[in-house]
This record gives sequence, structure tokens and C-alpha cells, in this order.
Amino acid sequence: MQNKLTGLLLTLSKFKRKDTQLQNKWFRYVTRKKSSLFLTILLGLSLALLIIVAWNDDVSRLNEFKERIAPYKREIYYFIPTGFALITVGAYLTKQGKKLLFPIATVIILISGISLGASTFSKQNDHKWGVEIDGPSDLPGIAEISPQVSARETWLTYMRLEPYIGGKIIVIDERINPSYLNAFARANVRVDSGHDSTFVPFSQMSAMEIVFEGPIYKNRKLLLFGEGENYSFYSTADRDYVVANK
Amino acid sequence: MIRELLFSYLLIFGGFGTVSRSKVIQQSPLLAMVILLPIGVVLFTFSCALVYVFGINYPLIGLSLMIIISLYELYKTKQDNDLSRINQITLLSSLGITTALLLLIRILVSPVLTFDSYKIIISGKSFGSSIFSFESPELASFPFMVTNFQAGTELFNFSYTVYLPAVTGFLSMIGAIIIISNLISPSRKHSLIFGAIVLMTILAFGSFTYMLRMQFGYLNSHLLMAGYYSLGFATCLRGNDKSEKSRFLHLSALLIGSIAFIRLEGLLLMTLLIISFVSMNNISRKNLVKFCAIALVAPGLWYLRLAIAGASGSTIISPRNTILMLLMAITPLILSWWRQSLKVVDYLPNLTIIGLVCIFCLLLLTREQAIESSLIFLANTVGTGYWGAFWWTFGPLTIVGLSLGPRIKHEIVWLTALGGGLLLILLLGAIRTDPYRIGWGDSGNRMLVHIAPLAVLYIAVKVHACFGKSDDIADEQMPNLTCEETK
Repeated sequence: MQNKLTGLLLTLSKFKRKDTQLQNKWFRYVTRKKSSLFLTILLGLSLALLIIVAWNDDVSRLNEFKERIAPYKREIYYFIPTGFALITVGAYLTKQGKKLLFPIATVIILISGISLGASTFSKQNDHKWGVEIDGPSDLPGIAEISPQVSARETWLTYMRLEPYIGGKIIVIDERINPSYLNAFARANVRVDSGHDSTFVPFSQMSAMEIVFEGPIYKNRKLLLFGEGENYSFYSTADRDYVVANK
Repeated sequence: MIRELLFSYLLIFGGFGTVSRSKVIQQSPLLAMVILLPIGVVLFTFSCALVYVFGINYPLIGLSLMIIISLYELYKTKQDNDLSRINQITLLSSLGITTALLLLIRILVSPVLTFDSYKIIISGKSFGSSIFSFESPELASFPFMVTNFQAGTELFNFSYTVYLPAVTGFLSMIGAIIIISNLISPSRKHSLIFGAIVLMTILAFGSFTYMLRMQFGYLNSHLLMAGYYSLGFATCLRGNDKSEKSRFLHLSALLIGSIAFIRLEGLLLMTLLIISFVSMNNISRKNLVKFCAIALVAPGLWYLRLAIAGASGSTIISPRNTILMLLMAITPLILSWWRQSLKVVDYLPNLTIIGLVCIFCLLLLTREQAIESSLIFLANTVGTGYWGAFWWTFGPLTIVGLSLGPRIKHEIVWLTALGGGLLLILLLGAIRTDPYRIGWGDSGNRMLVHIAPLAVLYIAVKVHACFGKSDDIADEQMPNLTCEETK
């Protein structure tokens, strides 16, 4: 009787082990094969949540979104859904055994996409940050035609300072940002805590020639006084001065 | 131009030693020719980062360290009798390819410099100068790899470089295409056709798509990230091939680690690739230590140094966030180290996506900015971001391919790299102080460039799977649930 019971228990434990193995196999199969589908559904749900939240939004962001994409209404409302439908049918039929339909649908969409891209070229590529073949390649040249005011004024002015103060020592105080003098004018900047940039030595400057003058953003100016091996930097509300130390 | 070429030649030589030792040249000379420059750039970046971290403010020392590493690797290769004529031919071909590309891109595209580009130049020029400081907010506001390129220009006495980073990124992208082409079929002819079709598709869309075309002249790090992210991911896939494991481990680690230096959010993207890598490869503890040392030490030290200095230049980089991101990056490796947690590593890509989706949904429900940024990001993707027909075409293809398309090997890691990358961009928009804005220059829109080559590659691999005998691998076959088996 005991032997029979032991045998039964053994069989039961074997069955259990096999069942666990099978469950593990299933788990592995589901996590590997179906996980991408599950995760895609999850991504889709997050997109759906975004649309729902935007729909219920008081600020009507969804309307703003519609207005923004309005110039490309035809492409977005027709091409994208058609593309979705075509590729979905292709993918579904491929799973049914007609393996070439997914590649064919992909090629059709790619060719249509390229044609559509070419047809929207004028709309999508016509702006001031254009990529030209014969545009300037030197830094001052690029800054000169930049749509950015800071580049056209401040940075270009510092770049034009380079022939005068490039490689030479310029003393500034801790309150002055040394980046432009270092990067664009390529000067050797020294921060001196004893130097006061607000105390402009006008009496000393009156005997000097203005060697260079350039604009700085917000109607300010940068002036270079005199020539020498060492310079000091001064700053007021409407002027910056680089003055040669004699 | 000649100075820029000389700089690129030195970087190619920097990569030559490491690539020669990894035996990639014997295995795939074409791949080696293409990745010499990207690997050299990675070594240059790592060397300079280590040099600056230890307080040596001389870019020349970083460049010299890269050359020393290359010479050491070449010496070791010669000792193993692996340095042959094919290595020399590969080096010369790589120099030729880089020269041709630099000249061609220079002819085709003029430089595009935005506000960030000038700031990158400013930040780069501070290296080696008297104003360099780890406390500088600019150091934490702009990625190190591209600023380090600008620091390198001082050594060769030219004012800035835009084409060299672009060529490096483009070559990395081609490298990724070659690796994946070699993986999908043992036939060289099939691989070549596959690679050519992918490249032609990218170039065809690139010629009509402003956001792709302008990357060749745009002084920023988006093309670099697109290239290295794809290449890092491709080496993850190739690393799975057991015969290649030891050879490719070092290169994989280098490329994955370099992602951290390419963008400020690079640590997060690097984490995605590390997750992909460890979930696909059963790595021994010894190799895990090697991988960690190569991929994480240099970026880890760099970001820790920034955190210690209290550098905080953007929403992403702050001392607290830096520590958190470093911990996230090392977690998959720690999980792989413990045998008890190995099972978790298998499901890490799934858990990552689930986690990212949950955080994104939570932010959508709690933060107005998340909705604003996401809708603007969508508007930029389909209309206002100058993407032309790229996402109109690849959006539906990727979504349907992912859910209904033929199954491919390691589908889940493709999803991690692509979907995870996309979710990260959306999450960054949700947590930023200012939401994303309309126009091509928005950072979310620009970050979309990072996953564009992978999207094209993914579709190509999916299409190729339809031509195979079976796209399933043996251990993924559905278990047989017949009575015989349950008996």
C-alpha cells in the first residue's frame, strides 16, 4: 500500500515538474514572441492616452496641433493612413503565407514617400537656415550672414578683433565672461582679481587711437584703443573697451 | 582644409591600433576601413576626458595618449604576427575614404551654425586655455565629444571643424549598415545588396529631407549620435555571435561608452544599449569587468568630476541627475554579475520599455508640459520639423513592422533601441523647464535624427526576413502542447 502511495506521489511530482517545465516554456515563448506585440500595444496605448488627454485639455492644444500641421493636411490625412492600411494588409497576408507582400508593400510606400518628399521639397526646404552649395565656410563669413543677431553683431565683432589681439594677453576681472575673447578673438585671457573692469581709464585712452570699432548685441559697441602686447578689458552700460597697456 | 585632413589622419591612426588588434581587418576589411575614424575619435575623446579629469589642461597630452594607445596596440598585434599587408591597405583605404568624403561634403554642403554651434566652439576653445574650469556651466551644457573636436582644432591651428564630426558620424552609420548586412546573411552578395539598398534609401530620403541633409553641415552632435548609436547597437547584435564575442567585446564597449560623451542625454541612451548588450550576450564575469572598465570608467570619471564641481548647465546635467544616470548605466552590468539576477537580465529590455511607458503616461496625466511637448514633438515630426516625407513613410512602416511584421531575431532589443530612444526624447520634453517648441531647431526634433538610421535598418531587416526560410530561431519555436508531451 505504502509502495503504491510512493509510486503515485512520484508520478504526481513528475507530472508537476513536466507541467512547470511546460509553463516555463510557454512563459519563455510568450515573453519572447509576443513581448514585442505587447510592448507595441503599450506604446499605442500611451499615444491614445496623449490624444485623450489633449482632447480634454482646456487650452485646446489639439486644435493648435491641427493648425500647425494644416499645410501638410493632404499628406498627413491621406498618405499616412493609406500607408498604414497598405502595410497592414501586406504584413497580414505575409503571415498567411504570401511572403512577398510585405516587401512589395514596403517598396510601394518607399517609392511613394520619395516622390512625396520630392514634391514637398519647395515647402520643406525653403527657409533661412538653408544648406547651400556655395555658402561661406570661414567663421566670420558664416556669422556675417547668420539670422542670429548675436552672431552678426557680438560674435562677429570679437572674431574681427583677432588680427589685433590674437595671442596677446588681456586682463579682465572676475565679473567679465572671458569666453568670447578666448574663443573668437583668440586672446590669452588672464583673470585678475585686482583689476576693476568698471573703472575705465579715459584719460589714458584720450591719447590713443581707436584701432577697431564693432557692434555688440543690444546697441552696444566694442572699441579697441591703441596697440601693444598687453591689453586690459573695461565694460560700461553701452560700451566695452579693450585698451592697450603702455 | 589641409589641416582638417591632417587632424582626421591622426585620428584614423588612433583607431588603427585598436582595430588591428581586434582582428576586424582580417574578418571584414571594408568594415575596418569605415570604422577606423570613429574608433580613433572615441579613443581621442576618452584620452582627453581622462587627461582633463586629472587636472592636465593640455589637449596635446590627450592626443598623445591616443597615439600611445594605438602604438601599443600595434606593437601587441605585431607580437601576435597579425600585422600584415592587408592592415596597411586598410589604413590607406580609410585615409582615402575619409579624404574623399570630407572633400565631397565640403563641396555639397555649406556649414550651418546655430546658437548652440557657436557655444560649442566657445566651450571647445576653453580646453587648454587659461579660462578652462570644471565649474564652467558651458561644460555641462554642451556634449564633450563635439567640443573636444573644437579643442583639437587649436592643435592644428584652424578655427573650427564641422565636416570632420559629420564624416565621423556618417562613417559610423555606414559601419552599422555593414555589420548588420553581414549578420543577416552569410552570403557576401546578399549582404552587399542589402547594405547598398539601405544606404541608397538613406541617401535618397536624405537628398529630399532637410533635417537629414543639413546634418552634414550642421555643427552639433546629432549625426555623431545617429552614427554611434546605430554602430553601438549593431556591435551588440554582432557580439551575440559567439565566435566574435571576445574580438568584438572591446570595440562594443568603446562604442557604447562613447555614447555618453556625444550628447548630454547620452548616459541614458548608453544605458539602453548596455541593456540591449547584456540581455543578448551571456558574458563571463571577467569580460563583464573588461566591458565595464572600457565603457564606463572614462565617462563615469568625467561626469563624476562635473558633479563634484557642481556643474549644472541644463535640465539634464546636474550633480544629482548625473549620479542617478551613472547608477542607471551600471545597474544592468551589476544584474549580469549576480547569477541570481541573470533571469531578470533576459527581461530587462521589456521592463525598460514598460517602465518608460509608465513614467510617460504618469507625466501625461500629471504635467501640462508633457502634453504640450509631446504634441509639439508630433507636429514637428509630421510637418513643422522639416522632416519631409521621412516620418510619413517610416512612421507607419516601423509601427506596423513592429506589431504585425515578420518576426526577426532579437526583436525586443530593436524595440528597446528604437522605442526606448523615442520614449526618452518624449520624457526629456516632459521634464524640461521649457517645453519643446515648433520648428526644426527644437532639440526634441533634432534628437529624432538619432534614431532615424536605426528605423531604416529595422525596416530593411524586417523586409529581408520575408525572404528567409524561416524568420524564427529554434529556441523560439512554439512549445508543442500535444497529449504525448503532457503524458
